Amino acid sequence: MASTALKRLMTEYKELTLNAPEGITAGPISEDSFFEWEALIAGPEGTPYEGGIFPALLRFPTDYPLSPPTMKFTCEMFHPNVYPDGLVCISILHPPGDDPNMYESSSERWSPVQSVEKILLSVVSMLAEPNDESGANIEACKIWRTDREGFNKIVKDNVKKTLGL
Amino acid sequence: MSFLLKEDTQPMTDPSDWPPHPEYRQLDLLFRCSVCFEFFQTPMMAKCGHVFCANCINACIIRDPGCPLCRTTCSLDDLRKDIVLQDIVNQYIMIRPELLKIVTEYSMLKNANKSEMVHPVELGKSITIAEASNSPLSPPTSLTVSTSLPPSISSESSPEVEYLFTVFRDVAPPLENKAVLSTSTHHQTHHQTPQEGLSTIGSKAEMIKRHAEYVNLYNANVDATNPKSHRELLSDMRIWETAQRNNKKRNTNSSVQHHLNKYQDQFNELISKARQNLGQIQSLSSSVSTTYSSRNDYSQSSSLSALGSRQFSNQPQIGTSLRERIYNLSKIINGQKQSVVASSSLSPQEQSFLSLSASSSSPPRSTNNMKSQPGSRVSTPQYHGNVAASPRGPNNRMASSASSSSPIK
Repeated sequence: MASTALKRLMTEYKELTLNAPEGITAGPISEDSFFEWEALIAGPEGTPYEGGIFPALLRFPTDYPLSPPTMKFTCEMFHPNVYPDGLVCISILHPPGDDPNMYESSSERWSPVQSVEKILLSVVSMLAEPNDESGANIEACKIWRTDREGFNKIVKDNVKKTLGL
Repeated sequence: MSFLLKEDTQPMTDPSDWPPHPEYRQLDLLFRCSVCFEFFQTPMMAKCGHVFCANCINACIIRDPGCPLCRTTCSLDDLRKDIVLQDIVNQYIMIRPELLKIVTEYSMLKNANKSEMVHPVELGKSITIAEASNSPLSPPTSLTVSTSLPPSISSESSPEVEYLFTVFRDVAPPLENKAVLSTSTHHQTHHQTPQEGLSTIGSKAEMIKRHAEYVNLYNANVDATNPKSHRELLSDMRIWETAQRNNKKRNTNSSVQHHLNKYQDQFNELISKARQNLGQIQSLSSSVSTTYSSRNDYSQSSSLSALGSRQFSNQPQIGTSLRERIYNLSKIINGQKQSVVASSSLSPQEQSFLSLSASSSSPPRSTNNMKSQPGSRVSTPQYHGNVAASPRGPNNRMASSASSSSPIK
């Protein structure tokens, strides 16, 4: 499978460099390993994440695209759907067979026809619209639900931190 | 990067090789499997109609038994080879380099001319790119959209269809997915029974024919990408009805009576010609058979003809009793066949000789023939010969000469 995974990742990389959607950049960290990518996601406008640039690490399994990659923010990310360690928890990254929370419809989940680009776009929309029903960061969930102002402030502070301000 | 490509058999290609016109890239994309992003290798079609490389879909289904694109349940047994697509892809791969070259050159040429005038294509391009940045169009998305919409019909109408007519086709299995999708492409038509609004005029046979035609239209429509509405189908049926009517009219026009009337003159001409020909044959055959008749009891028959040849009308008929005439007629029927055979096998010279000899001779009385009908008068000339003995072959000549001599004895 390694060959298929590699070829696909290279094709995706080429496509992303040529036609990258706005606010998204991604590519292999080094040419030695195509199975580890770094992605940069710009915080969507009109959200507390606006203005931030969030780096993340994408790790691809050798049987990619049959199995989904994992995505982990390498910066501090306060979000209901991101674990405190930075691991992103969205349905598109979950294979259909494995649904610990029993809330995702299988159509939203990983399928070999998904791509890096789609994952990143899903993450952008996740930033804009957190799903508090599938909390990964319980603390963030609570605050997002009960104290939106407080949530926004924490996020904005984080954005400043990531930008080194 | 090249070391990573060792396992490749083909040079890596991808849609971005094409000039930045969405049409070309989209086309290139359509020849590719949405799992591996490469050209289809042994394309296999899933139950839902989506196609993948055999290798890809097998690997996917083992992990998760469903179509990777639409999640329709699909097992390994449901996969079918798409042989046409295989050929298409192979052909495309073959012509791709040249096509790419041509298109790239053309695109460069156009760019060079760009300053002179604004091309609509260029405008279109910029628009699409702008759209792409808003809602990026990556291969699988576009495929999903285009392929999962169509089969909305039957899932909605299937209970009614089943109830009414099993002949009406239902779209192939996975209904759950399609039922969900169908809400978005709502067709009011399918609340109606499928054949509602069909004409009911005509005989039973016509109605059966109409129904068959409609079932055909309906079933073809079930799988169409953009299914027609019930109204459109009925309109199609009306066109068909009109065509049928016209056809029928044409058929009645070309009925036998019409044909007869139209070609009356030609028919008459042909008939009169045929009569003349028949008359000639009759006269000929009579002379032949009369020449040879007496020994074989064909004497009476030869010159008689129901159609009244000229020869016959010259023959004395007076005093023949009814019984005799019937007897003669029966002989005619038998003798006719023989005499025709005889005459046809003779050369023209012989025939003319025979007819000459026949007409020149006077009708003598038959002795052995008339014994069966005492008191009757001989109505036809009796000639002695042996036609039947040897109608063809070398003996023919002998026979004819013999017969020609006999009447003049």
